[in-house]
Amino acid sequence: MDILNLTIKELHEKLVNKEISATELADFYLSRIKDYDGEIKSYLNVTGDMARETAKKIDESPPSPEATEGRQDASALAGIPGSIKDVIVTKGVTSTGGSKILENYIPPYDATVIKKLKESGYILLGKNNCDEFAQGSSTENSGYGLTKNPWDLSHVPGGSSGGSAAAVAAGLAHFSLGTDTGGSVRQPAALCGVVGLKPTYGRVSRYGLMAMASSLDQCGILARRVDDVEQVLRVIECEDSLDATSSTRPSKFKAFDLAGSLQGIKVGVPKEYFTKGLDKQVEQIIKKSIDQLAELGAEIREVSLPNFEYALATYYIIMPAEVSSNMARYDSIRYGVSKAQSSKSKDQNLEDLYRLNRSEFLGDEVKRRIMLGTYVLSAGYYDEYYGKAQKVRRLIRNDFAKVFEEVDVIAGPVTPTPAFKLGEKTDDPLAMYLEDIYTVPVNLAGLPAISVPAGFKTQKRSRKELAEFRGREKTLTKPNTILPVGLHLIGNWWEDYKLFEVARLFEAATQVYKVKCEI
Amino acid sequence: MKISKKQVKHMAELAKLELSDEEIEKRAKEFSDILGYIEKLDKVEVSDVEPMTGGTDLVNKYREDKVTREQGEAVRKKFVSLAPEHSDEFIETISPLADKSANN
Repeated sequence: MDILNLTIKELHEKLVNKEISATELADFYLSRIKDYDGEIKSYLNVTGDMARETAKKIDESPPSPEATEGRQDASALAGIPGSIKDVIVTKGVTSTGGSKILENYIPPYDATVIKKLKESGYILLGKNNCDEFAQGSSTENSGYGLTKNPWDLSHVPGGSSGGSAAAVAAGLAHFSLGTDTGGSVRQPAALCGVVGLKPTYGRVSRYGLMAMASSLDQCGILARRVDDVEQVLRVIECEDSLDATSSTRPSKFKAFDLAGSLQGIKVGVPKEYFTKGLDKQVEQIIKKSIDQLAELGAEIREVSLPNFEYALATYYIIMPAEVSSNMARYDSIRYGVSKAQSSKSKDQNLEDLYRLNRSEFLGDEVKRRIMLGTYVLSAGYYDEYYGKAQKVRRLIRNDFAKVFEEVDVIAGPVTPTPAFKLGEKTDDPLAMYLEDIYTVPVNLAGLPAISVPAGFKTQKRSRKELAEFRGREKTLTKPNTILPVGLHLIGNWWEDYKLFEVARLFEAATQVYKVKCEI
Repeated sequence: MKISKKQVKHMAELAKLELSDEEIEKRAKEFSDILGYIEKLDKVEVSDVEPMTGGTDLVNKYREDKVTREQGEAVRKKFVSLAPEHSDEFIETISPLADKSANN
């Protein structure tokens, strides 16, 4: 049985027909993690015993056949093994957020999305590595070491949900939950050749997600197929009284079916997207993908997002401002680790305690963002920076609203380049931030967006690299590096299901998912 | 836009972080670059624009004022036990009202 190439729906049928047991499925993934994750390091914590226990219970009372058909059945994901980014709290299972300050944190509660997954019977394989508190674009900011891109172990998997993307790409999980604040699900999905969705803001509850930037954060989903991402969204979306920003809309779900063609669908391509920072091969792949959408029947229209060039600057004011507020809770008093023994400190006051612990346990990127955020919110600078950014955010949002009066989806690149090398951008924060230019406008506006595998950039390896990697793993010794490229599709507010249909048809026509990374 | 080491120290103080001299110097350069990039926004005309204050247009989302979640001794113990320093009943820390001399 070719488990890695089956969709959740197909696996569900096999479980119902007893062609495979939940225990066999869990063991399949757990043994792959054992065999391959030593090098990739996509997991911080593998919950093998818990997985087998849950699988055993499912085998004792298996799922109903109608589950995936109806899509609302609580057992739709029964027996399906998934992994969770470590910034999402899982009751009784250590959740570090990728930070040293929460090294010993065992949450006493589940995030709402985890509660929904549990109700549907999923199997938790473990917690995935990520940039500390979801802050980064390469997973190099994790307090626990880096994760490698399964397509080429000398490259980054992207971030901040790099562990999730690498696990799904390497066949170490059937799906994964991540978080996306400025592209942190879509970018690693693109860099690792898998599907990654950020839903409309407010569609999925943020309760239990360690907050990074509350007006931008959304829980996102990664899987190898569009169908699987959609299936998971159906399970986790809901209005939640514990998240004041969650909407009542998901309960008004209506299926969207384009009957196999994009006839009648208008695809907007912003002219501002094709700038000089965009890699030539990536540009070719995106243009070819847009042609493919036309071949499927879509009408392609050039559109304009006049404030596109200001989106990144706007994001790098608003996001750090919200981060500085959200990171204030890490004071080593109510939870996490502490360096000092306050009862024994004769020479310290409370502020010293904050300074000591935060400086010791928080990483450089988190500190950078806290300080930037504090600065743009401080007296004398608030109006000039934060006040202004909030207004430009409105303009960016309005640009999209105008474009969506004319088109159904917007298409373009997810990132200006495919995966870069480990260590390549760690000394230049601004260069790292520039990786996010296509993804951040979506979070600023609150729109749904998906990254779908679109092709590969190939590059001859240099003689120096060939010499350096002699005798190493297969992906490093091949004469050409092959790095995935994703197509970014942005939908109108609340049209997540229309977006899935377009993505699904593109996926079926191009079949890029059939190319697997050889680990 | 040039950020001075003095400004970095001020930012660190506001953020309750302590940086080494080397870190302060590094951050000064990085913040100068980043805030320099952000200066792009000076070109944007926003005089009649309503600020976007959140991710959604939802306002005052209420729920019923009813206790629906678990409460009681067991819950309190559960949360208190997460703290790095705690007694049976309380999370413990240094008094915010004490100054250094008062801790003697």
